Amino acid sequence: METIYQLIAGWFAGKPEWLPLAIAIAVPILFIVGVYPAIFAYTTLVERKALGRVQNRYGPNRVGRWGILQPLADGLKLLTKEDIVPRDADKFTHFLAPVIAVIPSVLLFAIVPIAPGLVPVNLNIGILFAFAISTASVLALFMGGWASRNKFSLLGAMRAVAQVVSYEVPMVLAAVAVVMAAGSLSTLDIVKAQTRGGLEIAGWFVFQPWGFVGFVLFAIGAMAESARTPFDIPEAESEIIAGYHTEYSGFKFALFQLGEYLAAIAMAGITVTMFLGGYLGPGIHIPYIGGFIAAFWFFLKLGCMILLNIWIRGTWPRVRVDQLMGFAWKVLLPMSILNIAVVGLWHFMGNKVLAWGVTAAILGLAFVILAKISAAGNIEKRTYRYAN
Amino acid sequence: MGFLGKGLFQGMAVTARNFVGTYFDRGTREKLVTYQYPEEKPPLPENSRSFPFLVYDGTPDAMRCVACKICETECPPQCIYIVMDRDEKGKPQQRPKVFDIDISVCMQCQICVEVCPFEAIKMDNDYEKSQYGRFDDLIEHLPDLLKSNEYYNEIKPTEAKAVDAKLKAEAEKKAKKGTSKPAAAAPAKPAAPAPAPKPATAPAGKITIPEDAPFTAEQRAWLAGFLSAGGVATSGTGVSPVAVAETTGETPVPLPEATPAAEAPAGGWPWHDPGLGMSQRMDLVKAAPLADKLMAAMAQTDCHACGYDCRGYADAIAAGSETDLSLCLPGEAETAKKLEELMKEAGKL
Amino acid sequence: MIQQISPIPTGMIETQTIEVSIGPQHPSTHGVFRMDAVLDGETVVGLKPVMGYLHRNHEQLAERMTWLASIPYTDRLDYFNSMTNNWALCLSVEKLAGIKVPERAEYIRVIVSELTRILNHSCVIGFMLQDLGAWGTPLLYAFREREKILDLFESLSGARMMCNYMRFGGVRVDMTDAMVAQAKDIVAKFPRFLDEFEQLLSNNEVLLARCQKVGILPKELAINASISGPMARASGVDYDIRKVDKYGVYGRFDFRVPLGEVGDVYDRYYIRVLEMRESIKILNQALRDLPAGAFVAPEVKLRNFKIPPGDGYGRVEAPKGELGFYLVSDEGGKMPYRYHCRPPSFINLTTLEDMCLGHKVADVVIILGSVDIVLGEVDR
Ligand code: SF4
Ligand code: SF4
Repeated sequence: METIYQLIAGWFAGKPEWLPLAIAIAVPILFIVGVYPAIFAYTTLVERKALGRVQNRYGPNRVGRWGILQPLADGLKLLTKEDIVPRDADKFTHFLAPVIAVIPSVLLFAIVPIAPGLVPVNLNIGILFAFAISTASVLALFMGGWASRNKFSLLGAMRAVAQVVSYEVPMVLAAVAVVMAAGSLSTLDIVKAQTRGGLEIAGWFVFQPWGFVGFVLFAIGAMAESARTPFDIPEAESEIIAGYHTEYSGFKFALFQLGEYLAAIAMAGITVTMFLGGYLGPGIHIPYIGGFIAAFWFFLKLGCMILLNIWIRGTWPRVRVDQLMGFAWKVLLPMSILNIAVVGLWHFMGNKVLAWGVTAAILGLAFVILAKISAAGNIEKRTYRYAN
Repeated sequence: MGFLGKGLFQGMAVTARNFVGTYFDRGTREKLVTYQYPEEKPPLPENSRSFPFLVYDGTPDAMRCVACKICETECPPQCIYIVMDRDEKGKPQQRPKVFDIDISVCMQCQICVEVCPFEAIKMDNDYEKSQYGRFDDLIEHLPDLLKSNEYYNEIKPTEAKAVDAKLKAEAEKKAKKGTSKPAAAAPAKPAAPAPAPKPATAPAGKITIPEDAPFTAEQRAWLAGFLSAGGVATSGTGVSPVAVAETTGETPVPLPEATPAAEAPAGGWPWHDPGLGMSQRMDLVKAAPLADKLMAAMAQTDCHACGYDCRGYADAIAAGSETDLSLCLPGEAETAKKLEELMKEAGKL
Repeated sequence: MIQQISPIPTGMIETQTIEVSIGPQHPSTHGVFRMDAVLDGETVVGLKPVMGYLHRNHEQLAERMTWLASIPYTDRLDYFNSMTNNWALCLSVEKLAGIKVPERAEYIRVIVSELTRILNHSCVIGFMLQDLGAWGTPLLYAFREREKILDLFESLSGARMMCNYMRFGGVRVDMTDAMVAQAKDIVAKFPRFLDEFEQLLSNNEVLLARCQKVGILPKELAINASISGPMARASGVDYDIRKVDKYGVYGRFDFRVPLGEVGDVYDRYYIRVLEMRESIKILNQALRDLPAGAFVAPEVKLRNFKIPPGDGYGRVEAPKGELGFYLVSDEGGKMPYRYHCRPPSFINLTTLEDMCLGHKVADVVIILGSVDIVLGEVDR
């Protein structure tokens, strides 16, 4: 926003004072409500196509070439569907929930930088803002579940609350490690911190042992927050039908989907920003077109994260609700606390090569121990005998 | 072996392989098995079946079906409805007037095909039968059901060839029998020894068209043509293995007859002629013994719907080994009533 | 990974149970089946299976029609495994009527039944994983392989699922050389698919955590409730009718019966994988030894097939368990006087409550999935 303002303020000399400001505000808003929903629409298409291929199917290919107009058809279909509100539902809350579901997801994009200096709002507490906002989405889920007056919806809503609240903790702690290393809460600064030491790619946090662990923790947390497989228990269709949006149809349902996907994309964006070097990549310093190259890198990384999400969704089964909670509190939380300590160690060890080895060893050991503890007595390798 | 997430990544490797594999699966259908239906259609194997149809030879008039109603009784969900054609005098015409199959009920089981002794009904493989109406549109009437033998040959070449060969052999046998043993009563007519036993063991009666039979020249010509087309009254002693064997062309193994039918006496059975009306047949047996009277009451198609041929059924009733008088399907209520009457007359009921 | 949370001890917090009707319209009840579950939070404290939504009067219908006409109806019992259903009825009738089945027919029957078994088992695992939330991937892999088997069934019997293939005293259509080659090809390729399947699933930690120690069926209960099939064997009951009765020509094949120890969902999953491997062994032997000859007993009539008075029970090891038909023939003998079907999925389902109590809602669906039911057979 600031960048745009500075850029265009000169052009509007003599015009009313508020005009450049208004434009500077309007452009990012239009960008967010224009580009990201489009990404959402095509994410659904890509997801369906990719899942199809993973499952040896074609995926949608009837509407337009390669099914390119499928999202449009879906949207039209959902728009024209009957809007059903259960008779005993709390009508107002039932109506409000999908709207509220979308708002936090959209707000999340405000702090995701897509090119050097190009972030809708450069908040100096960006990361904090993100967590504060993303948790608000659970309110919508609970409202929807509660207002529907359906037992399955209620179960889904309860699950959603428990899940989001639990996963918030390791996620924030994983982010703390990054904040410690970068020394700032601002997303732009975090990206800049990943070029430190003149290293282009090796500087990305994901290539540090602690950063890698942080990345995995954060990615798991992000998947859980946005209720993606294998953590999609709030809407586990084989168990509780569709969870909190069981009783939604038509456009309200579409809004829930929109909110959910936008949250997933935004979370992927934040993950990219924090661990994968954001918009960093070769060629971003070329004059004039450097900005576009940076944006390209950012969206490429974002796309990779989304694809990873889809790939995981196509492969893994869903975990159970108690396992999910146990996993958050018994595995992710200790790891993330240890990770914070390790970042401190990393910070104070001068020789980075040695530090790399030491921290990797500590984290690896901790992971093995935690995995063994959590597996002990619960899962085992079995052998089978045959009758005579 | 620990539980460190190795299995999770193995799984992801599998899905990745499948993802990539689908793009290199042009045409082999090893991975991408889908047929994109309206554009692509999977080749149908010869045995594939959808709904039954009726076969005719040459023109639709020369349908093989003689309205014996065996398929109607045997059809498990009872979705066939047949009304025999009759002329204005009420004489049965050996062909259906109405033949309806309700394809919303038909379960495509092929049992009608297996039980039909006349090779008249066969399985189609056309599966695109959706209709907009829920009621009448889903009932196939006689004109919809009739398809030519050429069509049958086209969709099921091997099976159809076997059937054709069988029918031809039967027709030849009949013709030979007709010349070597000319029926005394009707030398000038194309003898129609209908129940020529196709598996050689079981002897059976034969149809003769007596000179005094009330046929117009036209009717006789039609009957002759009809018989030589193999359309009528072939003996059905070996129904089951034949029906089964026809796809492979194996020679059917003859079955021992349940009640061996008696050899026709020297004078023949003049009434054993489905062209005669019931009253005419009864006239012919006025002085005959009970068994002959009973036989004359049958529909004379030797269709084996009752489990015997006409003679066998009559003998069984006369001998008291069969008590059910309603087994003659083509004879409908008329026969059943007559049988009851005759039995009452003879004091056996 | 994580132990199961025990229900909240009473007296600590005031809690209320809720009653949830899972089904009859629910994504994972495998048809129109209903479970009245009483939940304490997420934990199931009571469960009542409600059946009968798909009741079609199978037994009464069969008592009103000829012996032959019942065969296509058995296809509709367990519509995944029409071949074994046909066999069960034919076996009972053959027993009752004393029909001898030609050698070749027996081999063909073994071949189609074992193909049916691998088809059923792979799909059941797929469905179970679907219930586990794996988004249909394993299911569609299983369907991909099933497609190849169904192609063979189609060229053999004319239909993919409603095969209506067996007849009293044999089979309806002979297996040509091309079909034997096709079957050999399927059998040769199937182990590769099984390996892929196992790689995708058997070591997957999420699957292990979800399935192990869930829905345990103790051996004693399995025997008392007359559970049969892979479910009984997963609980360690050594009972396989192919071994016990040696019906058909099963006595001639060399195969083993895998047994589970714990009797939980994972055992039920893995026993099926192992059984598929054994089935492949049987198939290899049967396809190798397939003799020439008649494929249907010549003395059996299709129409007016009558059976002298008497009663008989014939059973086969269907993929889901012991499938048997108890038939009584009376005077006349044209149609059964009594026709009773012993459907394995129905009887296996009776232990559902015992297996589910104390587990989470999410477990109920996979336990149900691991029982392997087809509602066509449960409700008949
Ligand atoms: S069994 Fe054959 S001849 Fe008899 S009515 Fe049916 S189709 Fe016609
Ligand atoms: S296929 Fe079966 S159901 Fe259909 S008409 Fe023939 S006997 Fe009846």
